[in-house]
Amino acid sequence: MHPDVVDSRPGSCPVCKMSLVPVRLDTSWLCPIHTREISEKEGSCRICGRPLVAARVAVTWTCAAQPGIDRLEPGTCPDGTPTVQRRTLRPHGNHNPQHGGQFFMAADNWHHVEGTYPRAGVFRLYVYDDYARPLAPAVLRRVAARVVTNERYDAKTRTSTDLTAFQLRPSRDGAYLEARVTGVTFPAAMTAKIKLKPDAPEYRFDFTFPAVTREPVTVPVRNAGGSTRTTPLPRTNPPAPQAADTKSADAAAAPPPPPVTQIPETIPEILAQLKARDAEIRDLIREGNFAAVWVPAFQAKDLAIALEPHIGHLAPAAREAAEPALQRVVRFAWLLDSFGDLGNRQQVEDGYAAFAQAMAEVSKVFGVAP
Amino acid sequence: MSPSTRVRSLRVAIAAIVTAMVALSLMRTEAHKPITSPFTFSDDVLPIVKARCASCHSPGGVAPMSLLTHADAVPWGESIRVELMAGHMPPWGVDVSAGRFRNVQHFSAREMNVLLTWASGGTPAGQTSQEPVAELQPQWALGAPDVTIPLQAVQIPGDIQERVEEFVIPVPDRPLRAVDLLPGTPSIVRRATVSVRAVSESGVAGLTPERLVALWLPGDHPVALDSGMAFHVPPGAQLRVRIQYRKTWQHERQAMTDRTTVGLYFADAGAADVQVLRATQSTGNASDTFTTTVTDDIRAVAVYADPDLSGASLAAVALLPDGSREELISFRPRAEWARRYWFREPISLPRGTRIQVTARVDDALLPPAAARPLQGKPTSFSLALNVVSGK
Repeated sequence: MHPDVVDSRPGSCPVCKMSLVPVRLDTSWLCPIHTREISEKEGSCRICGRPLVAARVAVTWTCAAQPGIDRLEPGTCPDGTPTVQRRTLRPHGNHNPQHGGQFFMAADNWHHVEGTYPRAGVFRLYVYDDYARPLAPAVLRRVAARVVTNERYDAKTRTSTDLTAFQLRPSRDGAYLEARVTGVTFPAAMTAKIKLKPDAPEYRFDFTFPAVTREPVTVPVRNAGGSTRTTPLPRTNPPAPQAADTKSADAAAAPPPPPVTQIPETIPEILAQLKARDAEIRDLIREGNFAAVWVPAFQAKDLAIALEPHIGHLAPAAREAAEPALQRVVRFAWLLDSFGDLGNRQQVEDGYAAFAQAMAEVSKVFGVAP
Repeated sequence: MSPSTRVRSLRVAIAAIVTAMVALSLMRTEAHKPITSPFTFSDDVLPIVKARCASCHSPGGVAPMSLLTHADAVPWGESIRVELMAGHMPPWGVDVSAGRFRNVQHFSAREMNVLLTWASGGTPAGQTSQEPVAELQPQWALGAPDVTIPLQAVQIPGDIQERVEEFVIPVPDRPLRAVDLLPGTPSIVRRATVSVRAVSESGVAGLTPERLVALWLPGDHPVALDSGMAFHVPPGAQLRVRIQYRKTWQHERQAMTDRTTVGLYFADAGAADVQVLRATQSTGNASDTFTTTVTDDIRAVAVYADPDLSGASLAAVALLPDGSREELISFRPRAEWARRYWFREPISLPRGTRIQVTARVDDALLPPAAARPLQGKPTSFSLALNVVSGK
């Protein structure tokens, strides 16, 4: 259930207690969307031509005539032919901040960043791989990044120009990038603009810190082998509860639970709930709390799906418009979840505009003013 | 230490380093399977795929992959997720008021959620079936045509991935209610246009006879004109059939052959001719609004964008002389999936109605990995309204 839980020994998952199963991990290259073709080398996708991105894969051996065979070691197939290697993409899952900051995923689906504001005038950026492991100091030193505290946005061209920017420089131990910023007050809004490699596109991550961030408290966790290791308590995405609020390390290590959506029985009640979720999403975006947007967005999609059986009760004209409107609420809820992970304010706001339009359409066709 | 001992020591050291590197790169660790989706392929996904996607995503279909078995679908999980969130699949493109069109292609809210949850949550299999999946067998969707015309066979050598072929064929001097295609090799027939090549053109002011008879797409459900309407075929005219062939990655470097058949469906004599009213704007702007005016009483039966337009959204509204407004369409055309949208019922537009089109260069709502238009930003917008005269 938790692919980011990886241990070097057999045992059980510290989150859900299920038995760990063996896996052999390696790094391969694959297309960001056509993940069927996994290459051992850098290059471009032969289906669509996009540059391949690095990804974590599980390596097993199978048989050409019996693809159901999946072994951890090479060998011989029942028909006497040698086994062939198979590389299977493994999903990543840990989007928990490790230093009490805000955590986003880069659009390459591989790198992750965490921004912190440990004291007034100091911005730090931690950069991780696809399993939320910090980049090696030598790799981090090759990242070109700056933090922008003031910029001008041109809606016509959809581009922005830096007005006040500060260079992010590696810390002495190579653990993070840091810049001293001036002229910032709470809530402290700032944008990290990052090129992970010289030829890579520039990614932007919009951070908003309501207050100074704090490193989480660490507690000992007993692992399967009986020894103890120290695990930081990840913060659920902002606003973060303090570590002391959390009762156990296991609970804290778990990813945020899926939102449980209580579905009311009547259409007006469902629409009222939808309106409340819409307001929550709007507030979260205004606060810059993009990583938390998925919770009310997913609740809204569940409510929209609950309206589907009621379409038959609508007047014919409203019925025709209802189905695509509900589908759009679901689609844009998923898109908001995806954009929220990336931390780009403009994208999140564009996604929300489409979501809000679909919500208004739903309210209209079900007979309630938005 | 002797030279041979040094060499042996060096070899041992190199072997140790190589072994360590292999061990590090193929680190054997423990983890467990990340299934979070309550929906499985067999119980939840396959029924949707069969109903909505199988006309292309089948063995022998034009799509780059079949999605009819778990083994076939799983490697495309991320691609499915991105294409659904981008609104690219099914390739319909209409934003709102889809209910007013014929042969709408879209998922319900529940279906969309099932597919996205499954693709995002570990793609679980459920009870997989070992039954073989049949090859796609295209049929005439409108029933047997009145006349079938086999085109010349086309051979695409192994080193050619994509090709456009144009055929000019004689056509009887009779009005048409539909033209359809039946590909010989469906996996490479990507799209087609069928138009009438007339000797001369005529029409009332602002309106011209519609010569584009079909915007053909694989997996689409063609529409035949209602009784009393027809595409006019002047004496001596010919049909021009333009087919875009494209091999998917599965057929790379394979020589392929196709022989497509054209099916003609004739209309009754005396039917009203379908005409076209165009609104066009050259642009360097990210958005534009432009209008065209209706000069006679007409009924709108269909609408389509310039078949080469991508990377924009278009919204058309009819501003009637009495001050009322009728939303016609709001959609995101894609050249790859250029289609004509048929209104379920004709829309009456009295003389003096203004057709206002708002166009916007727009790809902001695509998830990061979604395919962007390849042609760059559009330099002109064009919308065509198919109409027949009369109230």
